[in-house]
Amino acid sequence: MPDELIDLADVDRLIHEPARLMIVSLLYAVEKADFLYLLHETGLTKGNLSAHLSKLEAANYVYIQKTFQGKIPQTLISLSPTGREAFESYREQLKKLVNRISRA
Amino acid sequence: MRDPILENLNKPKQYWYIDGLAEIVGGGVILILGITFLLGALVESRGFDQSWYFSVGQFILVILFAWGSKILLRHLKTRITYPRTGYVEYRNRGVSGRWSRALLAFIIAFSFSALMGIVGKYIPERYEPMIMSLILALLVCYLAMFIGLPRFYLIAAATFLTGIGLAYINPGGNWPYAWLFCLEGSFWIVSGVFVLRRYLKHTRPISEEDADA
Repeated sequence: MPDELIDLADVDRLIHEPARLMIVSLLYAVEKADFLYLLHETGLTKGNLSAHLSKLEAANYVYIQKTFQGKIPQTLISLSPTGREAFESYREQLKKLVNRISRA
Repeated sequence: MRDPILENLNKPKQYWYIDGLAEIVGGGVILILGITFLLGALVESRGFDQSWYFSVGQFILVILFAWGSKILLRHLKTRITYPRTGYVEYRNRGVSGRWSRALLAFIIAFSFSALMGIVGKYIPERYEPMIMSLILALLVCYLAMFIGLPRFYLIAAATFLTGIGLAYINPGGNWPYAWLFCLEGSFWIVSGVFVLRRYLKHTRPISEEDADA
């Protein structure tokens, strides 16, 4: 198998999924954000976003904290150090892969 | 080449300007700066000594208003933006980050006044506000490019045109700076009001029923 394909098979599939990549990259740039913000920026449905967040939480990539803003429930989401590291190494892998392909 | 990850990483930066509030409040501070020059011009026209005013008074006034604007903006965002399109807590730069930002602001201010001092020797006084408007316009262009908001280019263009207009009219004394900052502040406010109107039209605050999952 060519090296490029081996590299591609090695990428973190949990982050590589487009919706989750969108969520993680949004969270990477901030300290924390609430569910409403992610809903607004990603354009996902509530159920879809919830499902993706659960998967990321199970992998210990995000922290989810439930609070109240007055009477309105608020879910705050932040990227964990593990998630941050995973995103950085994913980007690094992707860059290397793109460079190799463009050189080929 | 378009980088969707980079675009996503930039979204939180753009989100700060989604409602126009930062532009309105920031424009307000620039307008206040213009008003302080206006006060200086009035003091000058009545023959009073204005050195105390420009060395201390103006600086304190602007710092106080800038500090107040930060609190006002936080309050407005909590009331208007967060219930509509969500809350974002930006990454804390820490003490060293804050100091490096303050140092950068100092270096920019120092280079700016040094540049104006040098340029001022070689060009007629009437063109100084035009040079200042050009520098301001370039800073706004940088902001537009850094955040990715094309509407800021219009503000940059309006700022530079104001500088050209002032060089042509040549009001003299502190008046050009008073006009320049008052108009620059007004441009930001007008742009912010348009954005806020559109934002309020297209969003609604979340209710208890449709609060998050």
